[in-house]
Amino acid sequence: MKQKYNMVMVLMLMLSLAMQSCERDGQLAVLPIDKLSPIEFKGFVMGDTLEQYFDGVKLREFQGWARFNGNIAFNSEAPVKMELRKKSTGEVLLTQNIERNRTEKPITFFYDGKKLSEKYEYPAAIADIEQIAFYFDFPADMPVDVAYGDGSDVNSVVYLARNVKPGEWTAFIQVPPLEGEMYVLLLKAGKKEYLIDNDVNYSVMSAGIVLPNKYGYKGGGVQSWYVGTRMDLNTNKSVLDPQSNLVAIFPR
Amino acid sequence: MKKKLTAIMRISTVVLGLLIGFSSLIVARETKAQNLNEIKVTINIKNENMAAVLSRIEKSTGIAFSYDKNLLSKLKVPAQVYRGESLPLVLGKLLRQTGYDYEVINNNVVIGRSRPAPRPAEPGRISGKVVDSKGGPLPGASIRILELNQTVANALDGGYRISLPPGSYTLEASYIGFQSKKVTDVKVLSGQNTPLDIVLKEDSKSLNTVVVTSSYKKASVEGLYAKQKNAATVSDGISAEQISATPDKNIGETLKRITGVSTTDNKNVVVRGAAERYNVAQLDGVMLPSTDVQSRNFDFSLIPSNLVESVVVSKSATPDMNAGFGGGLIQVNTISIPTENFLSFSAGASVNSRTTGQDFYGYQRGKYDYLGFDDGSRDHFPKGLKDVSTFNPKATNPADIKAVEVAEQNRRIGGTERLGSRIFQSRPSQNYQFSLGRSYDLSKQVARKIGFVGSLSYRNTQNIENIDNIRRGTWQIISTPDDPENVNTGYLYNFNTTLGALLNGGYRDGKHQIIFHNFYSRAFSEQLERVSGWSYANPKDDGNSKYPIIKEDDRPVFTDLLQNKVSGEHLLGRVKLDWSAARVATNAREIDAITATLRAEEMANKVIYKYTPGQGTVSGGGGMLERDKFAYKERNLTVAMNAAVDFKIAGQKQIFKTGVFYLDRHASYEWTMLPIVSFVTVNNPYGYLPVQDYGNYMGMEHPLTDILYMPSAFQLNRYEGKDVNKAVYAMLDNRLTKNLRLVWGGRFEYFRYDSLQNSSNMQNRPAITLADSVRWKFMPSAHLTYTPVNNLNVRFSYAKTAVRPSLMDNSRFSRYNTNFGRMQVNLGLESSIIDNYDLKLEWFPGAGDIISVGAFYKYFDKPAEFYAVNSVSGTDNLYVYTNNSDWGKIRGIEFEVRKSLGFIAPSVSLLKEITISGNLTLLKSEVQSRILRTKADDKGKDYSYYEYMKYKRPLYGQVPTVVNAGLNYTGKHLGLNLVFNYMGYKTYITGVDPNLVEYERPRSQIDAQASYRFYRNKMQFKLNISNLMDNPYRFYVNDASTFEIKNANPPINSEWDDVFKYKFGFSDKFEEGYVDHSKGAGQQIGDRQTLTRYIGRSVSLSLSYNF
Repeated sequence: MKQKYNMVMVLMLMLSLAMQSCERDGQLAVLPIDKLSPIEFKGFVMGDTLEQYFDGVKLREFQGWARFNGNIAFNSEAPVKMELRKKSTGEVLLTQNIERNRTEKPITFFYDGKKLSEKYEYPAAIADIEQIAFYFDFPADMPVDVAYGDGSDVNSVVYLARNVKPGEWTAFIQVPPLEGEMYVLLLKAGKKEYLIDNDVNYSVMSAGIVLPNKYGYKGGGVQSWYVGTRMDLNTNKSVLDPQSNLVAIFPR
Repeated sequence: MKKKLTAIMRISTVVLGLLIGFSSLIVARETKAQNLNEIKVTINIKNENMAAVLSRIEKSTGIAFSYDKNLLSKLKVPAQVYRGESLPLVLGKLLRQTGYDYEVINNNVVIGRSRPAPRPAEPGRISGKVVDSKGGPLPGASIRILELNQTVANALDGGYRISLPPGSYTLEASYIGFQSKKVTDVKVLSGQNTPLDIVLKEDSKSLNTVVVTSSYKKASVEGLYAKQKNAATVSDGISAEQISATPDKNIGETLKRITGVSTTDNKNVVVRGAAERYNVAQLDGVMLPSTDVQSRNFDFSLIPSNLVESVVVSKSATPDMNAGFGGGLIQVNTISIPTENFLSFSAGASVNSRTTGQDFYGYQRGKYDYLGFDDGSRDHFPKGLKDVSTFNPKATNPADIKAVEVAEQNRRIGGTERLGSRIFQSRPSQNYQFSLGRSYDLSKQVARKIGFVGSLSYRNTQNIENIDNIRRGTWQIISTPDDPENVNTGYLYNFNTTLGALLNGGYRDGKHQIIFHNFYSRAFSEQLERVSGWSYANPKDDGNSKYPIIKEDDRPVFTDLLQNKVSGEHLLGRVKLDWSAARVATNAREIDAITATLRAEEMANKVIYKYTPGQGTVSGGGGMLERDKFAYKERNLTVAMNAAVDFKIAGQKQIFKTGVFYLDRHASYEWTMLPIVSFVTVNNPYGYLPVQDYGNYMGMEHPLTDILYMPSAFQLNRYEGKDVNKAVYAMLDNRLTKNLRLVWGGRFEYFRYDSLQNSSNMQNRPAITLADSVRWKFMPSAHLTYTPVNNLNVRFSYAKTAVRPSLMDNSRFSRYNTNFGRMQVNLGLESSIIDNYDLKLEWFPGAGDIISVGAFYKYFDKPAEFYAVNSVSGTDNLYVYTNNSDWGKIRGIEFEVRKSLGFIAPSVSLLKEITISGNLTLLKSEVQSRILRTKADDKGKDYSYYEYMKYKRPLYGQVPTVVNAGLNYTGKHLGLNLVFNYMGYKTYITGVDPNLVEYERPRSQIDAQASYRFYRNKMQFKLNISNLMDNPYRFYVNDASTFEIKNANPPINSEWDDVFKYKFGFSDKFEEGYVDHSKGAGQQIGDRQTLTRYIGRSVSLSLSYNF
């Protein structure tokens, strides 16, 4: 009797352990892709960071020029839900369901720090006049004078805008064709001193900004420059980066 | 249970009786027991029910009874007549054989269920051995139980066993030439064994019978002393009695309880700080093959503890030991004929803090993986596969391999359905064990018996090990303190099923013994290493290497181990002859081992990981995806014969022993390595297809884009080797004086290794350069023991031993070793010859207690080592070579203590049940290392030579500091055990440059166990908590950032020490260092942490029952 009781106890224990089923296949770690579709995101983000979520999972952050050109993967017939959220508050600024059979049109967005819109708006072109606007994402105590010159003498520069406060757009400055090839230079506001270490090489905008001249590019374009600074770890100096032309990002 | 039920019934009957009785008190008059006999009954019963009969008796006598009317009305009473009979007599006859009885409770007659008749007491046993004062067995001694005048003779091993009714006895043991001993007050309890080893003293003075009388307590302590002190060499061990007091399930758990022995993962053994390579494991005297093909390890967890008679770890060798070792010889001896019958069953389960409830990755499992058998789904390796490495998809030459031939080979190999890791739910580990032992006495007068023991065990374990950091091998070794996410991490997923069976049996009498030992184990183990990170060649960036790659290395191995041995012992007059013949076969089949590299691609909505075929070229291909089979077979035949004769010189017993030994080993290793490739170069579509579907694209209709298996000849090859080890020895065990013993002799050993086929599986690799050039070796040894007082030994030992390479040590097969993070390449090994010197002082303050201090020195001629050789660490050309260095030396000291706390207050029994133990080993080693160089002679022919290094370094595998401490409580029912282990810095991989040497950082571990026995100690409940602190295993390299140039113009052939020195604040010990921002981006100045691995805390629960 006693032995039978013990056997039953032991068998019950065995049974409870053996109940753990022998799983063979498991779930694939790399899920098969049902469909791949080409997709492009283009946009620009100022004043905050936007987070991009797909089906509730954060994939990337955007600050400044936002771009992605590749494929979107579908594992089922269901559309993929894309969201743009403001990082500082978590507020959802945009929700879009991306269907399997969507057109290949790029998804664009512009965030000016306050509101999200589909595009960045800028004025129409004027023949032979270059229209240029600037936005400096600098520390608040770093106002800027914007000038042009050949870089040889700080005293001979010509001012395009004075005392531009960081975090504000300038108006579109109309620049007619100049007497030769000139560079856009940044100076400390109200001083005859280049912005960074008083070194013209670090204070010149070099990322594709072109001023019209009578002998080459005649103008007629529109440029809208977002300029930031960062510390270069190799030289331990501040550099003007990024320098993004929003008009090029949002062509008409 | 029956007893419990009976108790319940009795209680309920009494309660019922009391209730009935209480209610009947109202109507019944008080009944005095002494009055019952005076009450006469006259009644004529005619087939009535019991209730009616009792009612009539109540009426006729006026005595009220208490009973359950419903129950007793169902009881028929046959016709019978009573005339003037006493009431007790009538009640007794009426209730006879009805299951009911009457009782007078509180002066009332209560009728209820009858009590069971008391069973006769179960006999008890006395068992033990009769030994001489040095612990040697005295076969044929007679043991007489004076009270019963019963005499038995003991067995060949000195053992005896007597079954007796419970009581107190006096035993008298006698043997020719020895003083007889009377042991009084030997208590025998029902169903229990009373252990008693009896020590007889030699009687050199006269042939007259001298009887010495001793108490049981004194005699048993003497027996234990004799065992401890008898060992001829420096050794430690644990007996079956000691093992049974622990909650250990297998020998892997038990080994760490032996002084000077540490284990890692309860498997690999470190003795006196020497790594597994220098330790040899024997099961029943037969050397065990490695359960791991590429390294020399035996998984001791395969052997259940309750089948083990003893475990002895010898730290110095005598000539009759058939195995060479440098650290220790671990001899596990299983029971063959049990002292008493047993039948036991145990079941257990365990959980792990880093495993249970976590995703468990693995490749597709077979249907029978939980049972340890392959279901055939991994079989993609048909015979006769051919080299298609020269296949050219654009070829027009008719002699070339045709696409249709490749397609046919692809078809024979089969599809890739198994590939690709999957996520399973991790299960708690489970284990079951069933053991049976029976012995039969063939005679009541002399010890002549047959018996057997058998055991079946099953275990399934699943555990996940976390790799928090890996910076070695082909992984990026440079850390970026500014980007903490730039780290390589991963997991090891271990799925293991083990089946074990043991069947031993034999015959034993006073002069002869023949024993059969059979052990079989089958293990299925699948380890998936899955690491995510950046390689040295493609460090993290914002472009193509923005996301880490994933490397998977899946190794499913089925291992069979079968050991059969027959052995005999015979006492032929004064000659004791023993012999054995054994066959050990191991078969390890690693089937469908997969290596795969997954690359990341950033999709808009997710980062996907892609398996892709390797890039096919007209000279072979691979690298990204490969499926392999490795089959290892080893067969060892051993024959040994020993003869010992004892004689006396000057009244002292002397033993001469001689013997021969023969070991023949044969091994083969076959590999089939199948790279999966495609010649597609642009728009590779396969990354977006499930790897399980690749088989659908192997038809070769499109040779330029289809997928194919593309093995080269070197990937379809084999190794075969054999060696022979023969030995003859002679030794003398001389008792020079009463206090001085010398065991000395010599062993003449022949060893020859032959490669029968030794192909390489690499296109370019160094040649095998070495083999044993000296076939015969003479290995003398001498062990002197001086016993100035009864409980003190001073030992001095010298022994020359040879550690032989395993057969695979000479194979040219090379493979990535996950433990080293490098390709392991054998350069060939010759035997390491070791001179061992030991000095030890042992004090036995009480039974089972030991306090000792010792010193040892070992000189290794050609020590085998693992050493790294690449000059630029972190490149793809990372190798770890196995080869011999020129010489090595180890100097060490060790302290041991094992002491019961009973001495503090002898009257407190609790203290006697608490034992503290601890040991400390401190050692220092150095090696004369060398580098193999090649040079051209005058005729332009290459020859190799060694360049010897000027500076010495530590020997591979040494742990300079080992500490073990334990606290054990073993009560009648409760057992508690706390074990602490600390291992200091370990030289894990050696090298000529600190940048190559990898160390393991110190690590400590605490394990706790609690056990409780109940049901008369037949049932046992065990709770184990291991790795309480969850300390990680951590490895590091002295990074180049920690040293600086001290001599910019070093001499020719300069070594590291000539050119560099450690910067201030750094040494070869681990120093994490600091982050240097002086050059912009932060740079870590400090030692490189090459691997950090956590195994988690485990909690296991088991229940065992001895029927």
